[in-house]
Amino acid sequence: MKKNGNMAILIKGLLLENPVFVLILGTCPTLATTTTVIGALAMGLAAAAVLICSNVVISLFRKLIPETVRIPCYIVIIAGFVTLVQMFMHAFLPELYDLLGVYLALITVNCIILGRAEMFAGKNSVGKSALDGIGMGLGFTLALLSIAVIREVFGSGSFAGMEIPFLRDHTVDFLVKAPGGMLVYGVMIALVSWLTHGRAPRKKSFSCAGCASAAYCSGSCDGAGVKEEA
Amino acid sequence: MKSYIKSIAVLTLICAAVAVLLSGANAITAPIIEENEAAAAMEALKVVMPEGADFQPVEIGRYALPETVTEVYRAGGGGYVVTLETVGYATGMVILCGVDQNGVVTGAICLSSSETLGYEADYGAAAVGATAETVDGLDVISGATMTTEAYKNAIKDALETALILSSEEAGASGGAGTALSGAAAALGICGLLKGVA
Repeated sequence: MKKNGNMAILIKGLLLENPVFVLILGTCPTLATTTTVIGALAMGLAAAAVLICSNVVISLFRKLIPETVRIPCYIVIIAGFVTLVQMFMHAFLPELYDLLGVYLALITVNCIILGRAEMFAGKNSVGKSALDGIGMGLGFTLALLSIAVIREVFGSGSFAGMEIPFLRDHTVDFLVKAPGGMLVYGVMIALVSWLTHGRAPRKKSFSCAGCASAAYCSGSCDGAGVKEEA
Repeated sequence: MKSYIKSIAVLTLICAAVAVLLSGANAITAPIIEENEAAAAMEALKVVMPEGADFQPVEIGRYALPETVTEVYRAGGGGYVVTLETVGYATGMVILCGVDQNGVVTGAICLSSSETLGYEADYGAAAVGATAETVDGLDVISGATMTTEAYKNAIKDALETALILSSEEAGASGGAGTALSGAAAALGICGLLKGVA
Protein backbone atom coordinates (compact mmCIF):
# COMPACT_ATOMS: atom_id res chain seq x y z
CA MET A 1 0.00 0.00 0.00
CA LYS A 2 1.38 3.44 -0.95
CA LYS A 3 2.36 5.41 2.14
CA ASN A 4 0.47 8.51 0.98
CA GLY A 5 -2.28 6.67 -0.89
CA ASN A 6 -5.91 7.41 -0.11
CA MET A 7 -6.47 4.05 1.61
CA ALA A 8 -3.35 4.51 3.76
CA ILE A 9 -4.54 7.97 4.83
CA LEU A 10 -7.97 6.59 5.68
CA ILE A 11 -6.88 3.62 7.78
CA LYS A 12 -3.81 4.99 9.54
CA GLY A 13 -6.01 6.63 12.18
CA LEU A 14 -7.62 3.34 13.11
CA LEU A 15 -4.53 1.69 14.59
CA LEU A 16 -1.04 2.69 13.46
CA GLU A 17 -1.59 6.41 14.12
CA ASN A 18 -4.61 6.12 16.36
CA PRO A 19 -5.01 9.58 17.94
CA VAL A 20 -5.83 8.20 21.39
CA PHE A 21 -3.68 5.08 21.73
CA VAL A 22 -0.64 6.06 19.67
CA LEU A 23 -0.54 9.87 19.42
CA ILE A 24 -1.90 10.16 23.02
CA LEU A 25 -4.12 13.12 22.14
CA GLY A 26 -7.59 13.95 23.50
CA THR A 27 -6.90 12.31 26.86
CA CYS A 28 -9.33 14.53 28.82
CA PRO A 29 -12.53 13.61 26.90
CA THR A 30 -11.26 10.04 26.65
CA LEU A 31 -11.21 9.62 30.42
CA ALA A 32 -14.30 11.76 31.08
CA THR A 33 -16.80 10.36 28.60
CA THR A 34 -15.97 6.66 28.61
CA THR A 35 -17.98 5.67 31.69
CA THR A 36 -20.88 4.80 29.38
CA VAL A 37 -20.95 3.35 25.87
CA ILE A 38 -23.62 5.82 24.73
CA GLY A 39 -21.63 8.80 26.01
CA ALA A 40 -18.43 7.55 24.34
CA LEU A 41 -20.20 6.95 21.02
CA ALA A 42 -21.83 10.39 21.11
CA MET A 43 -18.56 12.12 21.95
CA GLY A 44 -16.68 10.15 19.26
CA LEU A 45 -19.19 10.93 16.53
CA ALA A 46 -19.49 14.61 17.53
CA ALA A 47 -15.69 15.02 17.48
CA ALA A 48 -15.48 13.10 14.17
CA ALA A 49 -18.08 15.37 12.55
CA VAL A 50 -16.16 18.47 13.68
CA LEU A 51 -12.86 16.94 12.57
CA ILE A 52 -14.09 16.09 9.07
CA CYS A 53 -15.79 19.46 8.51
CA SER A 54 -12.91 21.53 9.91
CA ASN A 55 -10.33 19.52 7.92
CA VAL A 56 -12.26 20.12 4.68
CA VAL A 57 -12.77 23.87 5.26
CA ILE A 58 -9.19 24.47 6.45
CA SER A 59 -7.82 22.58 3.48
CA LEU A 60 -10.11 24.52 1.13
CA PHE A 61 -8.82 27.89 2.39
CA ARG A 62 -5.23 26.84 3.18
CA LYS A 63 -3.77 29.02 0.42
CA LEU A 64 -5.76 32.08 1.51
CA ILE A 65 -5.01 31.88 5.23
CA PRO A 66 -1.79 33.81 6.07
CA GLU A 67 0.83 31.86 8.02
CA THR A 68 0.88 34.40 10.88
CA VAL A 69 -2.82 34.09 11.73
CA ARG A 70 -3.38 30.44 10.81
CA ILE A 71 -3.91 29.25 14.41
CA PRO A 72 -6.60 31.88 15.24
CA CYS A 73 -8.27 31.12 11.89
CA TYR A 74 -8.24 27.36 12.59
CA ILE A 75 -9.65 27.92 16.09
CA VAL A 76 -12.48 30.13 14.80
CA ILE A 77 -13.40 27.54 12.14
CA ILE A 78 -13.25 24.65 14.63
CA ALA A 79 -15.20 26.61 17.29
CA GLY A 80 -17.83 27.43 14.67
CA PHE A 81 -18.36 23.77 13.82
CA VAL A 82 -18.39 22.77 17.50
CA THR A 83 -21.07 25.39 18.20
CA LEU A 84 -23.09 24.09 15.23
CA VAL A 85 -22.91 20.53 16.59
CA GLN A 86 -23.87 21.84 20.05
CA MET A 87 -26.90 23.72 18.71
CA PHE A 88 -28.23 20.81 16.67
CA MET A 89 -27.56 18.28 19.42
CA HIS A 90 -29.27 20.54 21.98
CA ALA A 91 -32.30 20.82 19.69
CA PHE A 92 -32.62 17.27 18.38
CA LEU A 93 -30.71 15.07 20.86
CA PRO A 94 -31.20 16.86 24.21
CA GLU A 95 -30.48 13.77 26.32
CA LEU A 96 -27.08 13.27 24.67
CA TYR A 97 -26.43 17.01 24.98
CA ASP A 98 -27.02 16.80 28.74
CA LEU A 99 -24.95 13.61 28.98
CA LEU A 100 -21.86 15.14 27.34
CA GLY A 101 -22.18 18.43 29.24
CA VAL A 102 -19.16 20.69 29.10
CA TYR A 103 -17.06 18.14 27.19
CA LEU A 104 -19.05 18.89 24.02
CA ALA A 105 -17.93 22.53 24.04
CA LEU A 106 -14.39 21.44 24.91
CA ILE A 107 -14.08 19.69 21.51
CA THR A 108 -12.98 23.17 20.38
CA VAL A 109 -9.69 22.76 22.20
CA ASN A 110 -9.34 19.03 21.50
CA CYS A 111 -5.70 18.47 20.51
CA ILE A 112 -6.67 15.92 17.85
CA ILE A 113 -8.67 18.43 15.82
CA LEU A 114 -6.19 21.30 16.01
CA GLY A 115 -3.34 18.82 15.52
CA ARG A 116 -4.81 17.41 12.29
CA ALA A 117 -5.59 20.94 11.04
CA GLU A 118 -1.99 22.01 11.64
CA MET A 119 -0.20 18.84 10.56
CA PHE A 120 -2.41 17.63 7.71
CA ALA A 121 -5.33 19.77 6.49
CA GLY A 122 -3.18 22.92 6.23
CA LYS A 123 -0.84 21.17 3.77
CA ASN A 124 -2.96 18.69 1.79
CA SER A 125 -5.80 18.63 -0.71
CA VAL A 126 -9.46 18.74 0.29
CA GLY A 127 -10.05 15.07 -0.60
CA LYS A 128 -7.07 13.79 1.38
CA SER A 129 -7.97 16.05 4.33
CA ALA A 130 -11.51 14.66 4.34
CA LEU A 131 -10.13 11.10 4.33
CA ASP A 132 -7.75 12.00 7.16
CA GLY A 133 -10.68 13.45 9.11
CA ILE A 134 -12.78 10.33 8.56
CA GLY A 135 -9.93 7.99 9.52
CA MET A 136 -8.88 9.94 12.62
CA GLY A 137 -12.52 10.51 13.63
CA LEU A 138 -13.28 6.80 13.34
CA GLY A 139 -10.07 5.97 15.20
CA PHE A 140 -11.05 8.35 18.02
CA THR A 141 -14.59 6.92 18.16
CA LEU A 142 -13.38 3.31 18.19
CA ALA A 143 -10.81 4.09 20.89
CA LEU A 144 -13.44 5.69 23.12
CA LEU A 145 -15.84 2.81 22.47
CA SER A 146 -13.27 0.14 23.33
CA ILE A 147 -12.47 1.82 26.67
CA ALA A 148 -16.16 2.51 27.40
CA VAL A 149 -17.19 -1.11 26.77
CA ILE A 150 -14.69 -2.35 29.36
CA ARG A 151 -15.58 0.35 31.90
CA GLU A 152 -19.37 0.06 31.58
CA VAL A 153 -19.60 -3.73 31.30
CA PHE A 154 -17.30 -4.48 34.24
CA GLY A 155 -17.72 -1.22 36.19
CA SER A 156 -21.50 -0.82 35.98
CA GLY A 157 -22.61 -4.31 34.90
CA SER A 158 -24.44 -2.98 31.87
CA PHE A 159 -23.98 -2.35 28.15
CA ALA A 160 -25.43 0.85 26.66
CA GLY A 161 -27.70 1.09 29.69
CA MET A 162 -28.97 -2.52 29.45
CA GLU A 163 -28.14 -4.50 32.57
CA ILE A 164 -26.14 -7.71 32.14
CA PRO A 165 -27.16 -10.65 34.37
CA PHE A 166 -24.49 -11.74 36.89
CA LEU A 167 -22.19 -8.80 36.06
CA ARG A 168 -24.72 -6.28 37.41
CA ASP A 169 -24.31 -7.91 40.84
CA HIS A 170 -20.52 -8.19 40.60
CA THR A 171 -19.36 -4.76 39.47
CA VAL A 172 -15.83 -3.41 39.81
CA ASP A 173 -16.77 0.12 40.90
CA PHE A 174 -13.16 1.29 40.58
CA LEU A 175 -13.42 1.11 36.78
CA VAL A 176 -15.99 3.89 36.50
CA LYS A 177 -13.86 6.23 38.62
CA ALA A 178 -11.09 8.37 37.12
CA PRO A 179 -8.19 6.09 38.25
CA GLY A 180 -9.99 3.08 36.75
CA GLY A 181 -10.30 4.95 33.46
CA MET A 182 -6.59 5.74 33.51
CA LEU A 183 -5.76 2.08 34.19
CA VAL A 184 -7.89 0.84 31.28
CA TYR A 185 -6.42 3.55 29.06
CA GLY A 186 -2.88 2.45 29.92
CA VAL A 187 -3.65 -1.21 29.30
CA MET A 188 -5.17 -0.37 25.91
CA ILE A 189 -2.07 1.66 24.93
CA ALA A 190 0.10 -1.34 25.83
CA LEU A 191 -2.20 -3.66 23.86
CA VAL A 192 -2.07 -1.48 20.74
CA SER A 193 1.72 -1.24 21.02
CA TRP A 194 1.92 -5.03 21.27
CA LEU A 195 -0.49 -5.53 18.35
CA THR A 196 1.44 -3.21 16.05
CA HIS A 197 4.80 -4.82 17.00
CA GLY A 198 6.38 -1.39 17.34
CA ARG A 199 5.36 -0.36 13.82
CA ALA A 200 3.36 2.55 15.24
CA PRO A 201 5.27 5.83 14.89
CA ARG A 202 7.43 6.65 17.86
CA LYS A 203 8.14 10.08 19.16
CA LYS A 204 11.22 10.48 16.95
CA SER A 205 9.13 9.78 13.86
CA PHE A 206 7.37 13.11 14.28
CA SER A 207 9.43 15.90 12.86
CA CYS A 208 9.37 19.36 14.36
CA ALA A 209 8.60 20.68 10.89
CA GLY A 210 5.03 21.86 10.90
CA CYS A 211 4.52 21.38 14.63
CA ALA A 212 2.68 24.29 16.26
CA SER A 213 4.70 23.90 19.46
CA ALA A 214 8.15 23.61 17.88
CA ALA A 215 9.10 27.18 18.78
CA TYR A 216 8.36 26.62 22.46
CA CYS A 217 9.79 23.13 23.10
CA SER A 218 13.24 23.77 21.65
CA GLY A 219 12.90 21.02 19.07
CA SER A 220 12.78 18.09 21.46
CA CYS A 221 11.26 15.79 18.82
CA ASP A 222 14.31 16.30 16.60
CA GLY A 223 16.57 15.70 19.56
CA ALA A 224 17.88 19.27 19.53
CA GLY A 225 16.36 20.51 22.75
CA VAL A 226 15.10 18.61 25.76
CA LYS A 227 16.65 15.15 25.83
CA GLU A 228 14.40 12.15 25.77
CA GLU A 229 14.61 9.88 28.75
CA ALA A 230 16.37 6.62 28.15
CA MET B 1 2.31 46.45 6.36
CA LYS B 2 0.47 44.79 3.49
CA SER B 3 0.76 41.38 5.13
CA TYR B 4 -0.70 42.75 8.37
CA ILE B 5 -3.72 44.11 6.49
CA LYS B 6 -4.20 40.79 4.70
CA SER B 7 -3.99 38.86 7.98
CA ILE B 8 -6.53 41.12 9.66
CA ALA B 9 -8.86 41.01 6.65
CA VAL B 10 -8.77 37.20 6.35
CA LEU B 11 -9.36 36.64 10.07
CA THR B 12 -12.20 39.20 10.07
CA LEU B 13 -13.83 37.58 7.04
CA ILE B 14 -13.61 34.11 8.59
CA CYS B 15 -15.13 35.40 11.85
CA ALA B 16 -17.94 37.11 9.91
CA ALA B 17 -18.68 34.01 7.84
CA VAL B 18 -18.79 31.81 10.98
CA ALA B 19 -21.05 34.35 12.72
CA VAL B 20 -23.50 34.35 9.77
CA LEU B 21 -23.51 30.53 9.71
CA LEU B 22 -24.15 30.33 13.46
CA SER B 23 -26.94 32.93 13.37
CA GLY B 24 -28.67 30.85 10.68
CA ALA B 25 -28.30 27.68 12.77
CA ASN B 26 -29.53 29.54 15.84
CA ALA B 27 -32.65 30.69 13.95
CA ILE B 28 -33.43 27.04 13.17
CA THR B 29 -32.60 25.49 16.53
CA ALA B 30 -33.57 28.17 19.11
CA PRO B 31 -37.38 27.64 18.87
CA ILE B 32 -36.93 23.85 19.12
CA ILE B 33 -34.61 24.19 22.13
CA GLU B 34 -37.13 26.54 23.79
CA GLU B 35 -39.95 24.03 23.22
CA ASN B 36 -37.83 21.18 24.60
CA GLU B 37 -36.90 23.18 27.70
CA ALA B 38 -40.53 24.14 28.35
CA ALA B 39 -41.53 20.47 28.03
CA ALA B 40 -38.70 19.42 30.37
CA ALA B 41 -39.78 22.07 32.90
CA MET B 42 -43.35 20.73 32.79
CA GLU B 43 -42.01 17.18 33.29
CA ALA B 44 -40.15 18.36 36.39
CA LEU B 45 -43.33 19.96 37.73
CA LYS B 46 -45.15 16.65 37.27
CA VAL B 47 -42.41 14.86 39.23
CA VAL B 48 -43.07 16.91 42.38
CA MET B 49 -46.84 17.05 41.87
CA PRO B 50 -47.84 13.87 40.00
CA GLU B 51 -51.54 14.65 40.13
CA GLY B 52 -51.13 18.26 39.01
CA ALA B 53 -51.97 19.49 35.53
CA ASP B 54 -52.27 22.70 33.56
CA PHE B 55 -49.51 24.50 35.48
CA GLN B 56 -49.56 28.28 35.12
CA PRO B 57 -46.76 30.63 36.23
CA VAL B 58 -47.55 33.01 39.10
CA GLU B 59 -46.29 36.59 39.03
CA ILE B 60 -44.31 36.43 42.27
CA GLY B 61 -43.35 40.12 42.36
CA ARG B 62 -46.86 40.99 43.57
CA TYR B 63 -46.46 39.07 46.85
CA ALA B 64 -44.17 39.25 49.88
CA LEU B 65 -42.72 35.75 49.47
CA PRO B 66 -39.61 34.29 51.12
CA GLU B 67 -36.35 35.42 49.50
CA THR B 68 -35.45 31.93 48.37
CA VAL B 69 -38.48 31.69 46.06
CA THR B 70 -37.56 32.26 42.41
CA GLU B 71 -40.59 30.83 40.54
CA VAL B 72 -44.07 29.59 41.40
CA TYR B 73 -46.52 27.59 39.26
CA ARG B 74 -50.19 27.17 40.14
CA ALA B 75 -51.65 23.73 39.40
CA GLY B 76 -55.03 23.63 37.68
CA GLY B 77 -56.57 21.41 40.37
CA GLY B 78 -55.15 23.49 43.26
CA GLY B 79 -51.76 23.63 44.93
CA TYR B 80 -48.46 25.15 43.92
CA VAL B 81 -45.04 24.11 42.71
CA VAL B 82 -42.33 26.39 44.07
CA THR B 83 -38.77 26.76 42.78
CA LEU B 84 -36.34 27.83 45.49
CA GLU B 85 -32.68 28.74 45.34
CA THR B 86 -30.92 28.42 48.64
CA VAL B 87 -27.45 28.19 50.15
CA GLY B 88 -26.28 25.07 51.95
CA TYR B 89 -22.58 24.36 52.28
CA ALA B 90 -22.23 25.99 48.87
CA THR B 91 -24.34 28.43 46.91
CA GLY B 92 -26.75 27.52 44.16
CA MET B 93 -28.82 24.69 45.64
CA VAL B 94 -32.00 24.77 43.53
CA ILE B 95 -35.01 22.87 44.89
CA LEU B 96 -38.41 22.26 43.31
CA CYS B 97 -41.18 21.58 45.84
CA GLY B 98 -44.86 20.78 45.27
CA VAL B 99 -47.52 21.69 47.89
CA ASP B 100 -51.14 20.61 47.39
CA GLN B 101 -54.28 22.58 48.27
CA ASN B 102 -54.25 21.08 51.78
CA GLY B 103 -50.77 22.36 52.55
CA VAL B 104 -49.10 18.98 52.23
CA VAL B 105 -45.79 18.48 50.39
CA THR B 106 -46.41 16.26 47.33
CA GLY B 107 -42.78 15.96 46.30
CA ALA B 108 -39.43 17.71 46.19
CA ILE B 109 -36.37 17.35 44.01
CA CYS B 110 -32.98 19.02 43.95
CA LEU B 111 -32.44 20.39 40.42
CA SER B 112 -28.84 21.43 40.96
CA SER B 113 -26.37 21.79 43.79
CA SER B 114 -22.68 21.99 44.58
CA GLU B 115 -22.89 20.28 47.98
CA THR B 116 -20.00 18.01 48.83
CA LEU B 117 -21.67 14.63 49.22
CA GLY B 118 -24.58 14.76 46.80
CA TYR B 119 -27.04 13.16 49.22
CA GLU B 120 -29.44 16.10 48.69
CA ALA B 121 -30.69 14.29 45.58
CA ASP B 122 -32.45 11.82 47.91
CA TYR B 123 -33.89 14.24 50.48
CA GLY B 124 -37.05 14.91 48.46
CA ALA B 125 -38.56 11.51 49.26
CA ALA B 126 -38.28 12.27 52.99
CA ALA B 127 -40.25 15.50 52.58
CA VAL B 128 -43.31 13.91 50.93
CA GLY B 129 -46.35 14.25 53.20
CA ALA B 130 -44.78 16.94 55.38
CA THR B 131 -46.85 19.92 56.52
CA ALA B 132 -45.96 23.20 58.20
CA GLU B 133 -46.51 21.48 61.56
CA THR B 134 -44.52 18.29 60.88
CA VAL B 135 -41.61 19.56 58.75
CA ASP B 136 -39.40 20.06 61.82
CA GLY B 137 -39.75 16.41 62.81
CA LEU B 138 -38.33 14.81 59.66
CA ASP B 139 -35.37 12.54 60.42
CA VAL B 140 -33.50 12.63 57.09
CA ILE B 141 -33.57 16.41 56.72
CA SER B 142 -33.12 17.12 60.40
CA GLY B 143 -31.14 20.32 59.94
CA ALA B 144 -28.05 18.87 61.63
CA THR B 145 -25.81 19.87 58.71
CA MET B 146 -25.67 22.99 56.60
CA THR B 147 -27.16 21.11 53.64
CA THR B 148 -30.07 19.54 55.51
CA GLU B 149 -30.79 22.81 57.32
CA ALA B 150 -30.94 24.68 54.01
CA TYR B 151 -33.11 21.93 52.51
CA LYS B 152 -35.52 21.95 55.44
CA ASN B 153 -35.76 25.74 55.38
CA ALA B 154 -36.47 25.62 51.65
CA ILE B 155 -39.35 23.18 52.25
CA LYS B 156 -40.65 25.53 54.96
CA ASP B 157 -40.42 28.45 52.52
CA ALA B 158 -42.35 26.46 49.91
CA LEU B 159 -45.09 25.68 52.46
CA GLU B 160 -45.21 29.34 53.53
CA THR B 161 -45.39 30.46 49.88
CA ALA B 162 -48.32 28.12 49.23
CA LEU B 163 -50.10 29.49 52.32
CA ILE B 164 -49.56 33.10 51.30
CA LEU B 165 -50.69 32.60 47.71
CA SER B 166 -53.68 30.48 48.65
CA SER B 167 -54.83 33.05 51.20
CA GLU B 168 -54.36 35.92 48.75
CA GLU B 169 -56.31 34.15 46.02
CA ALA B 170 -59.12 33.25 48.41
CA GLY B 171 -59.28 36.89 49.52
CA ALA B 172 -59.31 38.16 45.94
CA SER B 173 -62.14 35.81 44.93
CA GLY B 174 -64.11 36.45 48.15
CA GLY B 175 -64.76 32.71 48.42
CA ALA B 176 -64.50 30.33 51.30
CA GLY B 177 -61.06 29.26 50.11
CA THR B 178 -59.24 26.00 50.62
CA ALA B 179 -57.88 24.33 53.67
CA LEU B 180 -54.63 26.13 52.91
CA SER B 181 -56.18 29.62 53.08
CA GLY B 182 -57.98 28.71 56.29
CA ALA B 183 -54.71 27.67 57.81
CA ALA B 184 -53.10 30.85 56.57
CA ALA B 185 -55.73 32.95 58.26
CA ALA B 186 -55.32 31.02 61.48
CA LEU B 187 -51.55 31.52 61.40
CA GLY B 188 -51.90 35.22 60.68
CA ILE B 189 -49.88 34.94 57.52
CA CYS B 190 -52.24 37.33 55.75
CA GLY B 191 -50.47 40.09 57.63
CA LEU B 192 -47.38 39.38 55.53
CA LEU B 193 -49.18 40.14 52.33
CA LYS B 194 -48.59 43.30 50.44
CA GLY B 195 -51.65 45.39 49.89
CA VAL B 196 -52.94 44.17 46.58
CA ALA B 197 -56.17 45.55 45.23
